[in-house]
Amino acid sequence: MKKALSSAVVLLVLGIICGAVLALVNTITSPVIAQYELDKKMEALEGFFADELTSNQKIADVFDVEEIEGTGGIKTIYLLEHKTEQTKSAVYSVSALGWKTNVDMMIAVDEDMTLRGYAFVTNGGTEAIGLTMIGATLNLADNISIQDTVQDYDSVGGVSAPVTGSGVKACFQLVALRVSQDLGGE
Amino acid sequence: MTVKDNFFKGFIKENPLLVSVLGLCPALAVTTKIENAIGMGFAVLFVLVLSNLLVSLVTFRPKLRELVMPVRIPVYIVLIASLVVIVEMLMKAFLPELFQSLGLFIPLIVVNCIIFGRAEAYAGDHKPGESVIDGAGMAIGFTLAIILISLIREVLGAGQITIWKSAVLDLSFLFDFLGIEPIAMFMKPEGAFITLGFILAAVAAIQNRVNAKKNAKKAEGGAK
Repeated sequence: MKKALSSAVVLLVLGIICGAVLALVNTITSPVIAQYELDKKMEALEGFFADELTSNQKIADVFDVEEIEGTGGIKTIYLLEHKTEQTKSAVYSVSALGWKTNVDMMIAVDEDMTLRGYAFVTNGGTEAIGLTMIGATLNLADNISIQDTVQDYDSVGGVSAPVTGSGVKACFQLVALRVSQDLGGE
Repeated sequence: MTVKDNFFKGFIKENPLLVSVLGLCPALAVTTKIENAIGMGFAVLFVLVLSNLLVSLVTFRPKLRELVMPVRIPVYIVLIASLVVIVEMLMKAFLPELFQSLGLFIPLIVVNCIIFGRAEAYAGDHKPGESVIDGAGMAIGFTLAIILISLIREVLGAGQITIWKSAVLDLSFLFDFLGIEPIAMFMKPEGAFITLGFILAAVAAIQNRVNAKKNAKKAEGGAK
C-alpha cells in the first residue's frame, strides 16, 4: 500500500514538473504565435483594401481594426474604420457546410452595404468536383449589394456541385443577415 | 556493444522504419517533400533523444526505479507527451509554415511506436548516456529513411526536390528530356505505399545477402 502510494507520488511530482516546464515554454512561444496569427489576419485583410494602401503601408497604418468574436457560422468579424475619412467596413470570416466539409470564406462589406470583396480561405467543400476553392471567382456584378449576392452569383461548382454552391450561398446569407448590426444599415 | 555500434545500429541494422517497420503513419503521410521529412526527422530526434534520456534518468537509480516500474507506462506517457507538446509549441512559434505542412503528425508523435518502443525496450534498462546515443541513432536512422522515401516520391511525383522553403531543385528538364510528365500518383497515398514497399524489399534483399555471406563464412570456418 505504502509502495503504491509512493509510486503515485512519483507520478504526481513528474506531472507537476512537466506542467511547469510546459508553462515556461508556453510563456516564451505564445506571444510569438499570437503575433504570427495577427500578422496572417492582417495580411488577409490587406487584400481587400489594397486600393487604399500604398506599397509600404500596413492595414493598421490606415484603419483602426477591431476584432469581434462571431456567432453561428460567422467566426470572426473585423470592423475597420478609416483613420482620416472615418468610413467603416466590415470583414467577416465565415464558414458554412459545402460538399461534406465546410466552405470557409472572408467577405468584406462597405458601409453602404456593397460587397467590397470575398476570398476562399481553405479548399473545403470541393471533394466532389476536384476544384480548388482558393482563388476561385464568382461571377458577381460590380458594386453589388450584399443582400443581392445571395441570389446573383454563379456557384463555384455550377450545377454539378449544388451542395458546394449551397455552402457559398449560405456564407453570403450569414453575412447579409448580420451586416446591418455591425455597420448600422444604409 | 561499443558506442559506435550503439549509434549506428539504428541507421540500417535495426532501422526503426525499414527493419522494425515502426512509425509508418508519418513515414507515409508526410513524405511528399524532403522539407517535411527533415522537419519531422528533427521533431522525432528532439523527442526521442530527450525521452530516452528522461526515461533512463527516472529508471536508472535502483530506489527510484523500484517506485517508477509499477507506474512506468503513465510515467513514459507523461514524459513523451510533454516533450511532444514542447516541440509542437516551438514549431508553431518559430516554423509555422512547416508546422502547418506537417499538421496532425506532430501531435501524433506522442503515439509513435518508435518513441515508446525505445523507452520500453532500451532506455528503461540502460544508462542515460547509452540511451541518448541509442535515441540519436534511431532518430537519425528514421530521418534518413523518410528522406529517402521523400526523395523518390518528390522526384518521381513532382519533378523537383524541396530541400528547405525556397531552396527547390527543379528537375523538370529531366522529364522534358524523357518526354514524360511527373507521375502524380507518387504524391498520393498509394505512391507512398509502393515506394515504401520497394524500399523494404530492397533492404530485405540486401540483409539476406549479407546474412548468407556471413553464414557461408561461418560454415567455412567450421569446416576448417
